[in-house]
Amino acid sequence: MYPPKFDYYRANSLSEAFSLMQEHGGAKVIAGGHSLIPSLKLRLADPGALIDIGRIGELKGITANGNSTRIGALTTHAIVAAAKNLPQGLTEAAGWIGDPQVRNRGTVGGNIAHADPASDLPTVFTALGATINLTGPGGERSVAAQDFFTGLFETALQEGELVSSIDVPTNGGGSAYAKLFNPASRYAVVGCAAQVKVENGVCSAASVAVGGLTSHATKANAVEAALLGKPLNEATIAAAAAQISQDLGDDVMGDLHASADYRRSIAPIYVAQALTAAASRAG
Amino acid sequence: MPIQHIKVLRNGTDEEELKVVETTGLPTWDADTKFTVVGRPQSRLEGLEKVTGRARYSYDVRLSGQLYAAVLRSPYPHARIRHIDTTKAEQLPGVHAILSSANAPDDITWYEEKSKLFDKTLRFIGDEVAAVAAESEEFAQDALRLIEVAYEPLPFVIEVEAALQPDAPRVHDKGNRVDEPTIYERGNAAAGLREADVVIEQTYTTQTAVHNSLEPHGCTAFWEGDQLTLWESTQGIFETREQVAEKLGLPEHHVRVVKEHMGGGFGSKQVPWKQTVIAALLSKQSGHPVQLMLDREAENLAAGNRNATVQRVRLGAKRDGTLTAILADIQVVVGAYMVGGEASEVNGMYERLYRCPNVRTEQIGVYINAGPCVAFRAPGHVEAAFALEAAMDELARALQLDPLTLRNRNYSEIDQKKEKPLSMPNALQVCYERATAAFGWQTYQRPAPTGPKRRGIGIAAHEWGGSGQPPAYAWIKLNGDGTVDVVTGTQDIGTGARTGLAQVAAEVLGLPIEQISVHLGDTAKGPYSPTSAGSSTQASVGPAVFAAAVEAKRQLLEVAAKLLEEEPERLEIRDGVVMVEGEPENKLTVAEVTGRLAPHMIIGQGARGPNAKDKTIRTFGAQCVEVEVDVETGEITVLRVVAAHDCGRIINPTMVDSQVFGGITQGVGFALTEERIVDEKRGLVLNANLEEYKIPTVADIPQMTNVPVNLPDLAANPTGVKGIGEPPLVPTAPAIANAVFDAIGVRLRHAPLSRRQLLAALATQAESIDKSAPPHTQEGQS
Amino acid sequence: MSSKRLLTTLAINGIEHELALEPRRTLLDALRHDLQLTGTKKVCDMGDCGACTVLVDGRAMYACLLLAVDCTDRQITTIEGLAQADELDPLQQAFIEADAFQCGFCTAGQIMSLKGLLNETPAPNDDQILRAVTGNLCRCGAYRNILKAGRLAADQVAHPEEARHADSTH
Repeated sequence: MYPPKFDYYRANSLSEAFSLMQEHGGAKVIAGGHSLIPSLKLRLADPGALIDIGRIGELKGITANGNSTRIGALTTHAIVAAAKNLPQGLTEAAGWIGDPQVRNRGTVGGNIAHADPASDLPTVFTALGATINLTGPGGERSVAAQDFFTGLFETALQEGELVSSIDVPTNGGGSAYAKLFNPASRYAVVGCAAQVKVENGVCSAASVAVGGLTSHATKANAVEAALLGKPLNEATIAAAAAQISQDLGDDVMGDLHASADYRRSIAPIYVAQALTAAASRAG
Repeated sequence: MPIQHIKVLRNGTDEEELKVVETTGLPTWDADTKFTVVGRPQSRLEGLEKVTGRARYSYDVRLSGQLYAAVLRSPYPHARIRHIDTTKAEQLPGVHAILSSANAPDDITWYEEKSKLFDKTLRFIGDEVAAVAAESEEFAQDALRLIEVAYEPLPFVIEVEAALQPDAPRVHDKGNRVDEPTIYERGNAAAGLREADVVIEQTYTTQTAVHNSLEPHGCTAFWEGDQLTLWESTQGIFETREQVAEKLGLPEHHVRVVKEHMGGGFGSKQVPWKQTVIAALLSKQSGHPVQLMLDREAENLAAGNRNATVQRVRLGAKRDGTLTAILADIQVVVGAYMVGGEASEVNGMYERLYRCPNVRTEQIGVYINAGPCVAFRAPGHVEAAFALEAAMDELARALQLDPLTLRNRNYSEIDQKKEKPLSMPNALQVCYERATAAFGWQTYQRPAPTGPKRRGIGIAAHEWGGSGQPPAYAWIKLNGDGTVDVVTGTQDIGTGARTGLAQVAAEVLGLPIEQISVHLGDTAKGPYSPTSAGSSTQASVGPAVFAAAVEAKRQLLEVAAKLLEEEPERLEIRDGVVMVEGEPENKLTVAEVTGRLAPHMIIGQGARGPNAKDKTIRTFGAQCVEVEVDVETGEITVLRVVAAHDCGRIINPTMVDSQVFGGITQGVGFALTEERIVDEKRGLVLNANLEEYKIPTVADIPQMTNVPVNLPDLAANPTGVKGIGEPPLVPTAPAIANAVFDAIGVRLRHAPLSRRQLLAALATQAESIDKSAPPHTQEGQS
Repeated sequence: MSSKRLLTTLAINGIEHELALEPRRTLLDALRHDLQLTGTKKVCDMGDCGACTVLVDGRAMYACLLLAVDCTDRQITTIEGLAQADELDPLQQAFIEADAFQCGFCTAGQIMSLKGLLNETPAPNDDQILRAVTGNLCRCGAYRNILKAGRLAADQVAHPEEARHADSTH
């Protein structure tokens, strides 16, 4: 399988990227390319031109900033996985994306812009209450992760915009990510990210999201509500995890890897796993 | 005919072979023989080439002016080509040759004459429509997209039951049954069932599995003048040469087939496929060398698979476990074509493995509109074992017998089909004993359940051919410096054949293995050896090398005797030194002898002799498995597998271990995850790639132990060797299924044992399961 | 489509090559076709199998998912560049010793993935070794010995003297 022909332009700065994008209507932006190249090979896209933003220095790196940490869009999963100043739920999820080859090349920005429903990071960013920073020729804007993922491979990104960075709050409590993965790609069949705070022995804040189940990362409001004010133990976590069926409704998707029924039936297990680990880290 | 060769490989043969080279009077390696090279671990001779990237595979051939070919394949499961226009593709710069039904020779047929090289009727998604040779792979792909084809879609059938309905769409004009059923009966099976105290009747199914060798099928073809050279990824260079010469009307000596290294075959490359002849014709048309390698999708669609089966099994037994009847009705789903005698003989294992006077098997092949099947590592036996060995487990449970006890009670020491003794009647017994002892079968203590996790154990056995057989030939050339070239037309398909053959030569000649080079994989350089299939390379070609080495040694000692002024009978070679018995001072190195002779040369010629006629030679094995089942997620984890396999004499324990571990790993895939999935409404293969067709990864392997079973079988050949390539895959899946039952009391009868199947089965038996205790206790396992 | 070829300099195993490439050519095809470095294998061509793994600036990546034109100014190491003169890399030696391959078609990728690990983690534990090759399929099922080879090589790198001594006592 080989891509169709295309022209290739490398942007060395954001401004250069925007002018190339304006110049070549229909062009696709490429960073790590781990989503785009396969789709070109399958000839699902024929953009005519690629604009490579992979070397734009201003989009790279991780910087702490008070109660949140900023991750540049071009930061690779491997770098996120090894970072010290990020919530554990995020670093462990990044460490289980694909395999080393994917983590060494794939970028955080590319991952969330692609918005694969089986991807891990959208779930984690949603649970952690991250903010997605977008930049376009007209300037910057920010969108809450929860609002950024809008559908199957759909996001709030608008024509001409790029993901520039992600701000991740670092004072949200203990966090964790659990998933059942497809053996070859390690995409999530079911993934759950959870973050909890415990004060005076009871859960004072909880944020939970699931992925792989519906068209995009879903916030688990019913699960969260069932946790608040409760001590976090096996029984309360199991009871809260069971609420995930409320959050999912009838929207669960099935595919070759697992039917909708199967996914729905095992979702509580991974919610409970993530909550248990998060609770143990909230300490 | 090549098909004959393969049948011989699979079954062995009782027919006397024409002897071309005398094979009588050879010494034998009996159980007391002392060895210095044989039986010791030896790393692969081609190791250095493989770890440095220098090993050249068919895919790596790079010739001056080489073109790259791509194949346009049918997007319909059944269609007729109304019209095909390649004009636009021809005009694309960089395109040199195009073949399709519009211009390909009309007289080349394939698939038992049921299809032309480019047929206007397409019978599966992936069937060849046209092929392009261009200056790069990218250009060839671009050109394919410019070929205009008007298809007339035809009704199609994917599901086996639907295919057997009288009004089903017909894959072939004569219908969807490959042939009349193959029926075998001994005794009276119906009466045997009536005699039984307990009858097990169940239907088991196995899936279509895809070989997915990492190197795809394909070749580089160069047709220069009247000479055609093919660098082909094949398990059989001579069979490829014979078939290609016949299809193209060339004399065999004008066709040369080369295969230096190969990235896996597992049976799928034991027959030549259309693309080889297509590449040759594209080379002829363009005047350039042409490389045509399948892409991964085509590899999954159109390069063979393990046929799915439906097996209705009935077992009858007396209260004490004695079998009174074995019956199996078997449907084998062959796909759209037979590639040539290649559908699995699923029936064989039912007829042989257990002692039973009343056996009846009936097998039919069924065509559907999907890619054709071909032999896949232990074809037929993997499928049969999944059903028979699970049915035996069910019978053991029904009789409240330990599954091992039931197997021992029905142990067969003879070949019941041919009414002949087995060459090694106790081999399976030894396998049972060693596997269960190393596993701790009798003393197994089931750990208490932890959370949703349940442990269980299972056992399964197998039998297979692997005796090796004639013909196979080898030459041994002794060089002036005392080094040795072993030349034979066999192929090393990744099993370590080079190394095993070198060990045989080194042992006979008393030379260190470093002084031996093995040259194989080239029809122009070595004498005939059979296709590497049927677990028979070491057992077929090894004895030919042995005979050639014995002959070379005889000549060498004759010369040495003259130089030492001794009788040849008093000479022996050890560590490269020819010495006189009892006279340590009177000696010459082999190099000194051959050096004196040079440039005259000693050449030993050897042939594979016939197998013993009065005995049946089979291989056997048993595996014990422990699994952990998560009753919440349905996940099955294979914790450990202990295997014991009879392969005659072990030449190289390292290679045998690797074959066993590799077989078990493929068995885990067959048991748990591998399955070609076809959308029955559209006929589309939904997982024709390595993301969604799930072969085991490094994270999926159990702890594995191979307990050596070193039983030289001199009925097979003077080296006592039998095959080990295929068998280790056979018992793994049924042993896993049996262990799953042991863990959770739920029987899964459909391979692969998917999470979904497991949870559904659990749900239907939910009431009967007490999560706080094991589902049952095992008889005889206190 | 115009699709100009681009002049691209690739630094492979320490040697710079100047090539005129179609932008759609992957690093894998540039290696195998333009440079005839066929030790890096093509199997799935979609990032599923790991056979094409090479090191890019020391890190393991899929050559089938990299555009060759995007590899300028990066140091690429392939299986052909691992041995120094005639001396094998400890991983190569360990793969032979542990019989960590059968057909050998996945071997280059497995070795390069482990090389990437040892570059970053000189003394890995067994779990890190396993995780380093989770992206590398082996159809022959040599996984157990691949892990063994990874362990052998890691020990050799961490304690060259001890490992050699241990060898000589075998």
